[in-house]
Amino acid sequence: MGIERGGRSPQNPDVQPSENPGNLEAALKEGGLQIWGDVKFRADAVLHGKIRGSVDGTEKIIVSHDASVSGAVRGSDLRVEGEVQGGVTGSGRVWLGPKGKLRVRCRGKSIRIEPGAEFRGELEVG
Amino acid sequence: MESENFISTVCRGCGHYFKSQRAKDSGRRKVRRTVVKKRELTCAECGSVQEVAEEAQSSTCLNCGRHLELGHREISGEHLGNLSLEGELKIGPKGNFGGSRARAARIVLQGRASGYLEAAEWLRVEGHAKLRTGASGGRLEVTVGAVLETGEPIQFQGGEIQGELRCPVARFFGPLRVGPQGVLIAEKVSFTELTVEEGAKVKVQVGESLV
Repeated sequence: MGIERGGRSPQNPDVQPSENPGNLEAALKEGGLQIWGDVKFRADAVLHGKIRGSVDGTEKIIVSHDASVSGAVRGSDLRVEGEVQGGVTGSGRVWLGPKGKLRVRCRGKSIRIEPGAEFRGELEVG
Repeated sequence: MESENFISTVCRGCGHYFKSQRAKDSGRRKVRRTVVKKRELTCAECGSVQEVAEEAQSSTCLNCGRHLELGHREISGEHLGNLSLEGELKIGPKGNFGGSRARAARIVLQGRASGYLEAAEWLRVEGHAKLRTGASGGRLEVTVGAVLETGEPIQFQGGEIQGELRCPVARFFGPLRVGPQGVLIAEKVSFTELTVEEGAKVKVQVGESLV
């Protein structure tokens, strides 16, 4: 997984150390991790922890149940099981799981919102 | 020796009583019981449920005394006045329901309606239909190629949009599905679950979660 950090420069980078500090993917999987700033992915990604910024990807992105993103999430196929406050834009399918929380907007080629999911905002398909 | 038409007699030898064959045959009365198929009917006024014959065309509510029209009705021209049917109402392509309220178990809408439509089971839109007011009921079906434009909010238990739906506010208390040829344009929509298939066009503001 390729990761680039950009956008806002963190005032107080609160990236908690993981067992393998050099491997950000492993740190993300542990949960409890917080990232201030925008994150870019060039491959499929599964998000855990808190991201205070936007997530930009070109492939599939899964926002897992213990993840929250304050900004927007962009990718191809998107699966939201956690919380996204800045909306999602997918070039493919967008799936909002039963415990998913989404605000602002939801854009995709096709959309599925499961019962129990919370969504308020603009919905756009096609 | 007994008479030709004897019904019963006693044996002169042993005293046994017996009936003649004719008497036995005539004694078997074949009772034909007609099975009347029944169905449940819910009164639109008070909501009480009663059983009526399946072929009945009208009935009276045992609870509130309301006259219930059970047949079907088709509007092919202008219709003024309210309607309340327990059957199916069809508003044809040139039909216009001009009353203030129409209630039926099932409504097929191909034309126009000025009044409010209430379809207990389902409302199916098959043509280019215009509703000046709103509609409510069990299930909304907008078939492929059909268009429904409403001037006021609509609310249904569920919906399947294969055609085009344009309305200010749409509330679905159950699942909503927009098919690949479906178009949904609304200022505000709410639902418990949503499926939008690839190819559909949707532009709505989702107001609240109804879960």
